[in-house]
Amino acid sequence: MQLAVVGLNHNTASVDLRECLAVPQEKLEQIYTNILANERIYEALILSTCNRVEYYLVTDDFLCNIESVLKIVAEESNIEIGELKNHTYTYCGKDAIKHLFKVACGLDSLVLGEPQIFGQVKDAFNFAKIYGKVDRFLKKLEESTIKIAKKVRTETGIAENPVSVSYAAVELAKKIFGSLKNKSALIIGAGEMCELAAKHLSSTDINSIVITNRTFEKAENLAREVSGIAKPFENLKEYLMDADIVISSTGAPNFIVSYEDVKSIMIKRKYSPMFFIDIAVPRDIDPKINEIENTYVYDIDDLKSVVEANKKAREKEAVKALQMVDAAVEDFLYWIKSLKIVPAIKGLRSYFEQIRETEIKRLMEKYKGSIDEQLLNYALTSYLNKALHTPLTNLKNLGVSGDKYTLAEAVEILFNLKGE
Amino acid sequence: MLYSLTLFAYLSSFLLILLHFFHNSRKLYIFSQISMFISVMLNFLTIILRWVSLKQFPASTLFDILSMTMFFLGTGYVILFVKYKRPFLSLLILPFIIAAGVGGFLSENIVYKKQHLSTFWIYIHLPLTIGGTAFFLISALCGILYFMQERQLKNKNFGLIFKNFPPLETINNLNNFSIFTGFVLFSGGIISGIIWGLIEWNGTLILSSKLIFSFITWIIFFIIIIIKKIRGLTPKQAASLSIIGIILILLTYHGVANFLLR
Repeated sequence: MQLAVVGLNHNTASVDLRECLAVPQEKLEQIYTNILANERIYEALILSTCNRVEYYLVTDDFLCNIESVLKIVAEESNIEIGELKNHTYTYCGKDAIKHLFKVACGLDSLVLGEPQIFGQVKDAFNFAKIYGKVDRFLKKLEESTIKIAKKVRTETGIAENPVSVSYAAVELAKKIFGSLKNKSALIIGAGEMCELAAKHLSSTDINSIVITNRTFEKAENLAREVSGIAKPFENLKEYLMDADIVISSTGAPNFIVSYEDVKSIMIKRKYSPMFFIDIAVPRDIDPKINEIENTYVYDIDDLKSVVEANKKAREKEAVKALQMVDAAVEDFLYWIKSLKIVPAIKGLRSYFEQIRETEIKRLMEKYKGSIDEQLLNYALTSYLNKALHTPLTNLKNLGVSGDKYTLAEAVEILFNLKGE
Repeated sequence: MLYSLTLFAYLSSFLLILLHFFHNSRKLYIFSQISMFISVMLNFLTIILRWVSLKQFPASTLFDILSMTMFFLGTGYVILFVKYKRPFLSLLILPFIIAAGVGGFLSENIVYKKQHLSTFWIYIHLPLTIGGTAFFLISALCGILYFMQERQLKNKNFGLIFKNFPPLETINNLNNFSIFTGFVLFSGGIISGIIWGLIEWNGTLILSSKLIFSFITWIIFFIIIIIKKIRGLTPKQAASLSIIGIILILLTYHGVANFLLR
């Protein structure tokens, strides 16, 4: 038995094709039934997100069985199988396991290290348990996938640094204020960038968000979305006084927040820190404000350089994460190999158990009444356990290595005859 | 032997946190903090065992004073770590602890007080004064940390200092906590010193240069705290004043030790 995967993702297929092939929850049962109708596919897992659609199969003949899955997918989506094959990738055995681990850790994501995929992988396993078939192999795979994904997240900084401009702006604010609990934000403008920043801010524990815009209705709409307060644009300077974080993105041709305004406000604020984020082009906030004590002004280029630095940091962490993934794959392969040993161990044990039982029966018949059956049973069981302990331990430990021995060498190793 | 082990543990903690600073490894972080906790425990044990072996409070040699300084700096860090979980503060505190430890090695036999220190007040006065000074030093180090991080934010440098050091407001909170704790301990030290002087020295200590200079130091920090409370200081001003404060304390100690007590 081995794992195989066939699928496509943001690197191999356009969003149109991914949309076409996405498997909604209501179709899962039918697709699982179709896939598992193939008797040589023992277990299956479907992972369908906005960036990838993948079919993981536990099978003994991956080429034939992947072909059968592709046919099902092609029929379901009305796409030519030849066209489908142009956009799919397939992995088998070690590579398939590694691929799943990488996906769960966010190492194969569009945004390196993004955390949502881990939840999506967990959901996929849960759906497979409900609609498909999850047996010993996939159960162990699920356990190992969750373990490695958690390990990568806690032991590397893969998900630590924000890689979007609006998120980076909020994280920068946290670098100044620590917690945003008692802080107030002023959003000037109600465009897309302001909306994203406001949404990020509202997901923190910030005290209040004030939104001001030349078109008051737009400010009101955004305020409703982020539980903020909309205020008229005309009194902008008044709101600056109470704001700790100012995010601006308007279409104004000149600065709307001047050095002189902030200088006088800072005196009144007793130089309590202020953080200005200017996402507008041309800029809304005079960069000279950065020279005033306890004020920090960041424009779009600064934020982009933060994002670039963070991306590089994530790439660096990804190297560490990949090493962890490789180690986890080796552990999983060891478990697969150990599966082959289990029947041999069971067989050997039952062979000796049978001899023990036959011998007890024979002796009890021969020496009727003169032997204590319990004592005989105890003695033979104890002998059996001691005699089998070394060979069974060696079989468990060395049997997965795949090394080839002559029969004589195997006996020597199993029974530790050389006394090493 | 135990003192060497203590110093080695502090040194290990420093190397581990330094490696964590550059390599961002959770294991290094955990081991550095464990090593720091062990160091403080060993430091405490060193002081107790020396007390037992000397049959008097270990405060008559420079070695003892430095050992106690190490202990209070270490304890100060542990308290701040438990409260704020900012491990990289140890990157600034540990060099001072290690320097005090090495100083202790070099000055093991230097006796600065020949008379028997058996009074009850020495058990209170000395630890409180050293503890207060240790916290003032930590607050000054927080001040340095503040300037370093503020520089990164102003100049938009997103390197290791920016990434690893705490947010400005957290550093300001660390500074406030250290300065207040230091002030309370130091005040206790001054008051117990005065009482000690009155009882033991028949009042003559009241006018001694040592007490006058200690009082000046206390006044400096009292003024800082009063301004902070009444007028309100910006985090930058608080950071500057805590650095100036510790420089004045060190100058006072240096002046008293080298000129006035001769």
